[in-house]
Amino acid sequence: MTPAAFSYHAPSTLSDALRLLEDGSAMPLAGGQSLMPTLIARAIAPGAIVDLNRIQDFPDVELEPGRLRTGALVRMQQVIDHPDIAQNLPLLHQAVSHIGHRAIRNRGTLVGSLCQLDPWAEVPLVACALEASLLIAGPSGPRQARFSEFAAAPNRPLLAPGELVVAADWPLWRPEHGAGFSEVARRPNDPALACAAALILLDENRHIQRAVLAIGAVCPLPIRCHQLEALLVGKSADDLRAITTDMIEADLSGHVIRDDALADAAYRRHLAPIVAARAVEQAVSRAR
Amino acid sequence: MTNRIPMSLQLNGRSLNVAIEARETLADLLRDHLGHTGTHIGCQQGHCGACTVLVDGNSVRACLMLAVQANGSIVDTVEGLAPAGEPLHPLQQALRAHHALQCGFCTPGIEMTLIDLLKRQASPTEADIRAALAGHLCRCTGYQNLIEAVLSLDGNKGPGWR
Amino acid sequence: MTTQGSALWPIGARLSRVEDEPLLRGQGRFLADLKRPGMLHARFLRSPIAHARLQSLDLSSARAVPGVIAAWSATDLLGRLALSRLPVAMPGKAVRGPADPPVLAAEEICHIGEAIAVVVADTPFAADDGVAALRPLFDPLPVVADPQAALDPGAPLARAELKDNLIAAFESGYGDVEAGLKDAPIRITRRFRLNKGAAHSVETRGVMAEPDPVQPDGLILWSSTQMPHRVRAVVAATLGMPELSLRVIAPDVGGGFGPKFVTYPEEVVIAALARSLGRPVRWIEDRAENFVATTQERLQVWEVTVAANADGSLRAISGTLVQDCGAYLPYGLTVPQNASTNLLGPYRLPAYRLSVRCAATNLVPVTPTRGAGRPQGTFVMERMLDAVADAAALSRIEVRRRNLIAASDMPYRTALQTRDGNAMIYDSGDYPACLEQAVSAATALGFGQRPASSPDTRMGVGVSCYVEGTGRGPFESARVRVDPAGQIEVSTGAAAQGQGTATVLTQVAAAVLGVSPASVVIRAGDTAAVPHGLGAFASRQAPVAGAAVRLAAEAVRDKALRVAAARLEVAPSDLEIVDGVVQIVGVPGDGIALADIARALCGMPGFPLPAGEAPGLQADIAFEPPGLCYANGVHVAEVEVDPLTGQVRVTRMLVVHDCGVALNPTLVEGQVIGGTLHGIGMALHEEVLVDAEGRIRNAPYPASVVPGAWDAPKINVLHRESPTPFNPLGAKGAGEGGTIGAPAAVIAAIEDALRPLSLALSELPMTPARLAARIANARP
Repeated sequence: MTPAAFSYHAPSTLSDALRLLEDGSAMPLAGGQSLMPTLIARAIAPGAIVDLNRIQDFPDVELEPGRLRTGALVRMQQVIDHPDIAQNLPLLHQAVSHIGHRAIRNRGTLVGSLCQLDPWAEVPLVACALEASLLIAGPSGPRQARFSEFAAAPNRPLLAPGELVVAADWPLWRPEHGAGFSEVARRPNDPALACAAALILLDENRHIQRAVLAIGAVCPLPIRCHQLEALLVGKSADDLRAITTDMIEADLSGHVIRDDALADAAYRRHLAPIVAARAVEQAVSRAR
Repeated sequence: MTNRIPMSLQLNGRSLNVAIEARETLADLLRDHLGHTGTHIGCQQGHCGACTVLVDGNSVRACLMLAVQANGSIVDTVEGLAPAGEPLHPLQQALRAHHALQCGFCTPGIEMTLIDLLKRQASPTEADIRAALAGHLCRCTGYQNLIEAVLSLDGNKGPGWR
Repeated sequence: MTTQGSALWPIGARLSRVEDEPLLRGQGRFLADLKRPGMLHARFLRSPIAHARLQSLDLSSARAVPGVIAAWSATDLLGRLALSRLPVAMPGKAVRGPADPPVLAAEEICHIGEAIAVVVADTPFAADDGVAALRPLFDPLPVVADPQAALDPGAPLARAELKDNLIAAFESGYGDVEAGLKDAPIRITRRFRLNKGAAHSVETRGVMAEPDPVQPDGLILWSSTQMPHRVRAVVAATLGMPELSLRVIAPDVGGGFGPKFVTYPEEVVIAALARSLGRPVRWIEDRAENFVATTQERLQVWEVTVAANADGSLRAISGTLVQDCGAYLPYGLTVPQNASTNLLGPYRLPAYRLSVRCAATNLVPVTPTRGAGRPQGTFVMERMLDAVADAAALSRIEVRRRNLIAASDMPYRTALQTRDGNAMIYDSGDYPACLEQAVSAATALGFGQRPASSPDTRMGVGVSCYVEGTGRGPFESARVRVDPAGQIEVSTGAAAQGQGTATVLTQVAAAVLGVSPASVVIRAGDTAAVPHGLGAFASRQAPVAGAAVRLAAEAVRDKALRVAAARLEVAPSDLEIVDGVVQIVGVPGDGIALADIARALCGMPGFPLPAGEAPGLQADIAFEPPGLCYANGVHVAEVEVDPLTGQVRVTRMLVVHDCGVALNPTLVEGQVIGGTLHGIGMALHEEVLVDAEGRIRNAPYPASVVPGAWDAPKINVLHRESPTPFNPLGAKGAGEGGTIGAPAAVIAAIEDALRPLSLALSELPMTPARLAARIANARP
């Protein structure tokens, strides 16, 4: 099919872009790997497309003490190639290599995936695990939002009309931490059926000092497994019991389990403890 | 009368000026206006890879880029690998020698992905080749001969390699 | 002169394909690449609902869109058609009700995606704008979304004109099944569910039509089709125009796999539009449309009982098959017919009865995809044999040994008939030797010895045997002509979809005529090339078209030799053709070029033709194969299974394949490898998911169901050659065998990997979710 007609704008500054986005029927276009298929299928019909790709104002990849900032036009492939990210954010680095294929990653942006909030997406899962925050610009001025607030509903970020995400901030864990990521998909780089991200920090006795476990693709949004995290703290890294279905159930209870053409709810429920265990195991093995 | 946006690009080494509708994709521009029908459209979702071209040296899905987004860019398509009258590019020769194509519909997109791969890795492993081909749907060949064709190149690209 | 099966270069050579160079350069000419001056663009309005009455459709909103030239519904077409339905029914008594599809749905919509209207505009954008402006109103009707439910008494009708949803019923079988079942030491009943799938060729369909600039009232139609002559017949009849006025051309086709041999409503509509508007009109199917507008295959539910002796030899098979046919029958009952006959496989089966019921439903119409029902019949037989092996405490290989038809029994007359009413006879093949070769080759490659790649996964090996009736008739045509420049022109009703038909036919013509392949030109896929033809389906291009070309080339050669012999004053048997020159055997120089003979046979006004010959150095042959020729093979699959997630990876495959004389072994291997991966996809992933409302849940994502590069194992192919006596080449078809045997071997391998659980897997595709659920149920 072909898109419905729209007017096209390619501003070169952020302020020009914001002005154009004040039109309620205007949509921003960055990587386009999610937007274009819906536009072509006429599932959406915006009156205007505001192409962000010529804007020079966005930050690029900026490493600061305690956090790494990625601007709105940082591409997925850049995340894989960038040495600062591989070194300081191994979880993000690992997760992004599961995404799409090179041609998709060359265009698709990190921030775009955060705004898209696809239930199966790896980047929102990592943002959930790392407690990332979004820098947002808009008619009421700049603001910062925690990912957990921003991710209001699948495919529906909490953004006021005319607002635009300018960058994402990723808190860094200490260098000794171990990151683990596990995904089950039909094939490598297909949409995840279930995925898990784990972060582990050990104390000097190799006991778990801090644990984060987030599960994605199973529920409409990524979820943190706080109860399981609490169980893990204090355990010895060399004596971890397997994560069983019951342990995960406590954290999954109260959440909708996704059921769609790729996998039914029963299979996702079945996969959740498996990816969780694999991610935790990997994180523990990498923690120093 | 629909609004046409003027733009310019370099296509396989030639500078061109065109005027297109905003809603045209790069694939539409190449195929319908510039007579370069080697870039094929298979799914309009970015999954099948048949529309893969190089923009500013990076592989992209031409069906997921608006034509206007390639304004000022360098675009390489399959037609540029072996200009008319010139012998086949060594990659194309390897594909032919290994019976790595049948209906040929997925082939141009695969060629561009492989050119991109070989630019970055002179001697890719089988896993590297599979990862590159994983972004392409081929319903005919079973991928096996494609992989063997690329492995046969093994860094020995010789003259004629662009 | 040349004996059947003997290698006459380049027959049997691994010649590089003549098709490749333009395709590699991006110079292929697929339907969407074709443009005509003044061309208009068509888009269809399709039903989003599976069963409904069309209450109203106001086309004025589309006609008002800038750029839209015309918008038609069924009413507008009425005056332009001789028939309101496509005359595609096949002969046979099994069909019990009307089943031809309408050109455009008029009042009742019977499947999702059924075309209701067409909009034509000067750009594709405007055509889509026009369709987007339409607001059809529907009265929903009850949806019949499952073939078994369709056959329940009191089920709502899938189509109002039907008496019931049992659109067809027939029985296949022979022998005394009751005696076979009675007192059988081994008796096992299984149910099988083979879910809906589709071909998903990477190129979707497309049609372009243009008034013929040369012939008054003529029309040229291009279609991404496997059967141009059939398209011509159906479109001409539907439009009420003489076939002579309609030329149908298949350009380069980006994969067919079955559904592109169906003649579709869009071909009629685009032709009617071009005729009426007096301008070229083109329609390109997009991927989302492909999921609902192009035919699909399967949903089959089998219940089968096998009876065997204690030593594992078969006594009888009895069962039922419920086949979903979808809303119409655009291509007869090929899928269930082939499934029912192919179940026999290469085995001795004393008695057999299969009762087939075909259901009309509100789903996309069902026609063959690669294998055409044979993978399904083979799957059932192979799984039943594995069950017999387990019950008889035999290895799965041994049970096959005990049931395979012996080489000394060939040709083997089964007691079945094929759909044309002829006896089903296996013409040649050594099934036991093929199995032994597969077993020893797989053993030598270490199948079953390779360790799992992780402590949590399990390896397994499975075997399956198949036969395939190839070279379906009733005929294929070929004209071979030498032109005065010495170029060999081969025109044929054959059509290509990527399998290298032109190369194979070039090899045959060049071999017989003693010329270089470079001097042969193939004209195929064009009704103007030959008056009668059939096309590409059922693995027939090599055996049937190839045979026609061979016979025509032989006739041309014989004529050339006669003319040269008269001129040289020798006997024709003293002559040979080398590099296009007829010369005395072993005496180069002093010969006569074929070009000269061709020129002489063109004639000069007033002068007689040489030696009382008919004009032209050419011959026309329609080859009618006396029967199907049966290819056969054995698949050995090695898999790695993750019992936790249910994920399966086929790590290696071995196929021993016998398609008789291999005209080009490289191309045969390409077909076997591609076909095998296609079959692996059927086994593990390929499924069109339909909900209770008849909507497709996993459209439009072919990537999620079609095998990709990570799914592709190394597939080793070994050739055997049991030439067929049914054509002068000794060649059998090779396009589908890979697909037919692969699913059963893969599923058997999964069972082997999980042997302690004694799983009996009987559903395809065996997706990770299904396998994980089966594993969970099996554990104590």
